[in-house]
Amino acid sequence: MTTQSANQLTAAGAAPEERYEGVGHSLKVVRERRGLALTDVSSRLRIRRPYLEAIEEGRFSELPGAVYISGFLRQYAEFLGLDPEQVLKTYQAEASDAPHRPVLNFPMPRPEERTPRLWLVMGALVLAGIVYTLWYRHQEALRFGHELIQAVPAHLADLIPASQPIAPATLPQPAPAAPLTAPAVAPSPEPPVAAVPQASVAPPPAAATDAPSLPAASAVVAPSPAPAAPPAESSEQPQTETASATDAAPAPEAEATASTETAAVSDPPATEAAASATDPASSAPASYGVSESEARIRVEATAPSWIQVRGPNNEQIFTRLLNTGERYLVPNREGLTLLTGNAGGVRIVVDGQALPALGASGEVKRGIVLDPERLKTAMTEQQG
Amino acid sequence: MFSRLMGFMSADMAIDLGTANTLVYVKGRGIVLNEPSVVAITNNRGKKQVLAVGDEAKQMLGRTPGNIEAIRPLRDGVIADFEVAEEMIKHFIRKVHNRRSFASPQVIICVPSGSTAVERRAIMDSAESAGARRVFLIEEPMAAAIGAGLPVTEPTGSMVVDIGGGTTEVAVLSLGGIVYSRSVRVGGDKMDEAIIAYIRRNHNLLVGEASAERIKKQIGSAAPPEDGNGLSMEIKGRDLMNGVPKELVINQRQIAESLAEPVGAIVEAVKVALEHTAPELAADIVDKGIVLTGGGALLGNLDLVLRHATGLPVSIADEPLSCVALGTGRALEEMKTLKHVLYNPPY
Repeated sequence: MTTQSANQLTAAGAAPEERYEGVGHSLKVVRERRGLALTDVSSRLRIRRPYLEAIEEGRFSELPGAVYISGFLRQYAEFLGLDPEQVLKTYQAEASDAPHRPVLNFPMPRPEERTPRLWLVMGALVLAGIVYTLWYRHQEALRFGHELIQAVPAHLADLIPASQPIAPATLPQPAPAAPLTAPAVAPSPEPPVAAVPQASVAPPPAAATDAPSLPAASAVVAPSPAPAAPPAESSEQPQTETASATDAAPAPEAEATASTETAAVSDPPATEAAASATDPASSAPASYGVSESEARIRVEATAPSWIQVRGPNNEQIFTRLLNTGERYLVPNREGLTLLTGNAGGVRIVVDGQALPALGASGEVKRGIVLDPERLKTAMTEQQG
Repeated sequence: MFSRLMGFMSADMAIDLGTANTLVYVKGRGIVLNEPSVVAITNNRGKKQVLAVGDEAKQMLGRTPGNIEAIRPLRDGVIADFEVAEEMIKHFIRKVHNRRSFASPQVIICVPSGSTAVERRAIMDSAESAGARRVFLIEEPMAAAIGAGLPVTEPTGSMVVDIGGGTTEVAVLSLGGIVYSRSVRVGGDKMDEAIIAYIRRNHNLLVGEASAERIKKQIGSAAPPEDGNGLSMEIKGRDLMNGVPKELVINQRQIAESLAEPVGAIVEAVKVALEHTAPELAADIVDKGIVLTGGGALLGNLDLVLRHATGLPVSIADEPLSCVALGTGRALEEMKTLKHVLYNPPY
């Protein structure tokens, strides 16, 4: 009997079909042949009925664990009078892929995980701080550049709108204040520059059309210089007249010197006449940098040209695009160098003497030392 | 780093230091040694020397001349003879450990859950002086449960009964720890003693321990056969009445009768453990039942007796004799994840 059922076991295990024909099924066959009910087995072996059913139907995963599968199988086989080892062997062949050893995952206390996580957070914070500092410094550097450019408009804020159509609207407010101080307190850039845009914006051909509006603007802007300026503008007469007009204006002595300078400078070719024509106008108001009395060197633009003046430590002192006729009065300091993007459009004037053109139009020149004596010697050498 | 290097060079081992048998599991190689825990010592003009250890010594047990002493250094699961136990551990470590490796091995030894701190300390000291670099201890029921393949880390109760040579450990485990454990000093040795006492009392025949063990292994049964007297075997010993060697036939029913007392003690221990089990764990155990490990699990009909006494399904683990060694070995292999079950007093 036992051997017969063992043979049957192996046969059943070797031929798996759609219906479960494995070791459990053969146990069931043997049990039914013995005329035993499942409840009998359950009450004798104390194995719960669902587990026995699971064994008979081959649902071994429903049993609590590998050790219990083999334990229950052994008991069941023994109870039925089969050879337990034979049954177990059949089962193992059948379920060779079944996990024999359970994976042991011990419950781990949480705090152990938290420590590295804290370090991670700290590290991330430090890293974020470093990145932010670097970024901030970079931004600072950028902003520094911005401020350099904007420093001039801030200084002369009221002047920029003058060159633009919207100017009249914005101007009136600062303007009244300026004239009050301008003649007496500060013969400085303010009043002269106030007129710059007018002059520069008013080239000869356009002058006629510009004239009506500009006087109005200038009238609002600067009551004191205005009486002189509008006639000059509106008449749009040759340079000498403009010069005289500006001279006639109640401008401070700085302007007077400026105009004399332009007069002296303006004898060269006729082509420069237009430029020089604007010069007086600009000399009256349109200049940057220090006051005229302080500056020995002027950088004048005969054509729109970008210039940059650097100090001894390579720091930027002045950077701007000079429009035709605008000028920059170089502070009396040592070690200043000039960089220009349009050598042909820039003229250097030292103590009222104009140097020859620095180079061709559109040529970039850099490292021109703004030292009056050296420039003079260079000039005399060239002349000689 | 250094310890990892040392671990690479030395063959770490797990030792199931049992009362009856000592099994040694070497990392990466499995169980490499399974020998009786017996040491034969010769007394050479007052100087004690180890004559034999293991199988060889076991054959000498009870058959020694005056100058040789065959000793079982462990009694009731703990070290009884410190020096001899140390010699035995040293011998087994040397036998297993590769001579060419410089480093001394890390050793995990299992101890009965009921052993005292002094007994644990004695085992650790023995292993250390036997050449272990570091000694960890693991409690026997945990090792047995891991070795049997019980899902000890799951949040479900599992009951394991490990019947060793000296002690029987009953434990309920869940979530990687021992919820309840009970260690009774009843095991294979007590069964042998019971057989000896029964035969002497009823048949006036004195048999040796080795014979008693053989009887137990061959026809031992926890419960008398349902009908008849069951198997029988010839036993030889010395007649107490007239002092001559004698041979007689003993049957399974008689042995079952003789074993009633130690088996009753085991059943009692299991019942007490069940009484102390929390209801949720008890519910889990009703489903899955009890798993028997250890050599005592091989005693015929013991599962039947326990099933009747407790009303629970009782399964015998595969390879019950090596469950503890396999579990200790697994703790060695997976020392990182199983470090929680190791016991190592800091010093």
